[in-house]
Amino acid sequence: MSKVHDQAPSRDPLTQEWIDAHLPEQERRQVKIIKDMDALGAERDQWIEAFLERIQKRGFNVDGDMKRRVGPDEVPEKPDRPFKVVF
Amino acid sequence: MTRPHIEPFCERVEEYRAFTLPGFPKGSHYKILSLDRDTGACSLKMRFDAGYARAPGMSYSDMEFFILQGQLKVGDKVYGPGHYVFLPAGVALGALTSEQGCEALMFYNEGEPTFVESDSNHRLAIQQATVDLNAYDDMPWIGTARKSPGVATGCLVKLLRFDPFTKATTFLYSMTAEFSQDNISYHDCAEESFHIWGTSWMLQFGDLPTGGYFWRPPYINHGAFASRLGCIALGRTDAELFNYFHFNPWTTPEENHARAAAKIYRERPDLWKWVVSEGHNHPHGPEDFEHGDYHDQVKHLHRDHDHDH
Repeated sequence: MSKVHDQAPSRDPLTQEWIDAHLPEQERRQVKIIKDMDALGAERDQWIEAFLERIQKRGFNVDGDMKRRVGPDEVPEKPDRPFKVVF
Repeated sequence: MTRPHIEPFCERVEEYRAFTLPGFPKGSHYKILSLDRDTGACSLKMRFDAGYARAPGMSYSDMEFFILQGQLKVGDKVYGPGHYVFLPAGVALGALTSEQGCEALMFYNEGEPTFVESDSNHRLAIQQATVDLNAYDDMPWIGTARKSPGVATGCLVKLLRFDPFTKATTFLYSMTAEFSQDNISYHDCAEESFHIWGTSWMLQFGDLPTGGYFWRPPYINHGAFASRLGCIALGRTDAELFNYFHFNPWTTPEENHARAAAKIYRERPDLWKWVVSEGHNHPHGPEDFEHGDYHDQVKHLHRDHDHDH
């Protein structure tokens, strides 16, 4: 935090109301995003499958355009736990 | 910072609302992109009506703005699309007017939006940290990765602001048509982006179109990456952006965090030992002879609690 920010007067009640009103909206927005992302699950599985094929065939980007092919024994397996992309 | 993971989000589905916070004049409208629940810091898309006028003044928070379209006059200077300003807390900005109206991204980094009329800087303002440039006109695209490991060819960057203390950055980036990068990435920092134009794609989230936005906390997987027709976006981080690349799509933020810590352990064993010794980073130093003031802001750790002193 800047020194100037430390000098700020206490928050105006109207500003606090504004923040309080928006936080639940933001929570609802995130809930909707999680739902939308869950609905993308089957399509995402296909994207992941294609990605795992590409990194074995053409390699994954280690640094910039430098690529390294991933061997079949290195390919990660989907773990037995719920898969989330939004946290 | 305590903002939730908002990704992906497209602001075009939202309506503007009148911006009526205390101290601000009428005639501007906002959409919230993300909001810090503790500090009130926020990222906003704003619209200023034709004829908007605001007196000179300052904020108690560091703030940034980027003109998307239209024109905004600041004092006697006219800012058009691509104009970027970083305004340290307490630095007075000239009178704002917009004859025809404009749209801009506005970021309040430390606290809620505040405005105090003033034609002079706060006595503690760090005016020399101000950045004022046109991102479209005043600088070239950097076409190769600035550090290793870096992004693939076709992801271009313009660095607009770099905080020498925290290594937080604000940058414009562009993916060329047919860009692709086949790896999964995460960072130690929160990352934020607003798509000014075009669509990019990520393995986890699908397409992010024009008006697309994300606020992503640290250690969350993103990528592989692609853009069919190209895109241009404004990005920000709250600390150094280091690319931890890998190819496991299913790792968790906790696993990514541990991997990042293991990297420090391997590469800087003495620093690691000092930082974690019984959860206690005393003696209260080391003093940074170059940046003594910054030392006051370092949090000290005491095994099961921490505090400033």
